[in-house]
Amino acid sequence: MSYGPLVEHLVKSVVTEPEAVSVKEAKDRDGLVYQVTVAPNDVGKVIGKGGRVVSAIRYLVSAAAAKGREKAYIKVLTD
Amino acid sequence: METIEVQGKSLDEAKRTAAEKLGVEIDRIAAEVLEESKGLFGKAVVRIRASVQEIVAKPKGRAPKAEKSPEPASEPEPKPKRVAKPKPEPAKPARAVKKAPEPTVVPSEDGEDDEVEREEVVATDEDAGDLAEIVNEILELSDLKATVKPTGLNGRYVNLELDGKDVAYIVGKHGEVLNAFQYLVNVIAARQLENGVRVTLDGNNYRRRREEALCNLAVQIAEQVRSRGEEAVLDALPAFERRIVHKALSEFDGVSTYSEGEEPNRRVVIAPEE
Repeated sequence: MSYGPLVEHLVKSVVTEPEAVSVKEAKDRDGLVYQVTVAPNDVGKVIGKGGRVVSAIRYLVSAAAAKGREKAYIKVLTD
Repeated sequence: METIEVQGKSLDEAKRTAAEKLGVEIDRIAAEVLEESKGLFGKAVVRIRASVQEIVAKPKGRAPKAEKSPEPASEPEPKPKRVAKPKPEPAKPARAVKKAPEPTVVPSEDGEDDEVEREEVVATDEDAGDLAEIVNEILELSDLKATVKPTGLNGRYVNLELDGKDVAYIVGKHGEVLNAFQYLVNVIAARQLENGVRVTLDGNNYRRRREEALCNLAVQIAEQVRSRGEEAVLDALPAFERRIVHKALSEFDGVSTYSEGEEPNRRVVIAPEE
């Protein structure tokens, strides 16, 4: 199952520019990888203080993936 | 009611500071200890949440009887009604106003800005519905089978309960997923609702069971600390769970508690009292 829509929804909910959000799904040895791109100003919002927001998103996506016996990872791309 | 957080080297000092800031007598300060830490070289810090205690509760609409009868009242006086609700203050939080993108004419909130910050946020059924909707959307997209039900309002908090066959996934190990979920919903709510309402999420009665377990653990460790005379450090806990421990032991003789370390590795220390 794809967790892309979930990741996208969660990311869009915490940023100020939802239109600029894009999520790419890839598969590697360990499982599904979601590469998240957001507006430069929103990077901090997605990551949160001490990475709290992004780790909360990871927990939630991991929980959904655990049900499907899968692994899902999230990477926030920055340049 | 005005509530502020202050800190000082001792409870008394903190109370004094609070009294000064609120501009009232020190004995009218009601203090709730948030955190107490003993430091070396007199660096102890006590953090309290202080508020002004209402001395006379004025029942609305009629004059207090006491004023009319100056003689010692021999008649059984009606119990002064403890008015639980603070007087309704005007104006909604202005934060929404500031950010609202509507091109309306400048909203003229005549200089109320100062008071607005102090206003207590009270959640409504409508907020509960909005929050439940945020949670529902996420649940649907994650394909986790669970339903949300508001179970009550508590000040600015809306309590939501999750129920269904996939709740175990949502709670996770030691509630870590549940805590993450709750945190995220609060972040989203802060952005979308902008009214200061917060949420507590529970599933399978996890929070209640956890509270019980924490209290039991706290008492058990405290007994050991008391008999051995040695400090004990608990595992790292989130803030609201640390509070449960502090509270559970506030009445426990012979030990004191404080927290040390930085989030997210902040731990409660139970120390023997000299």
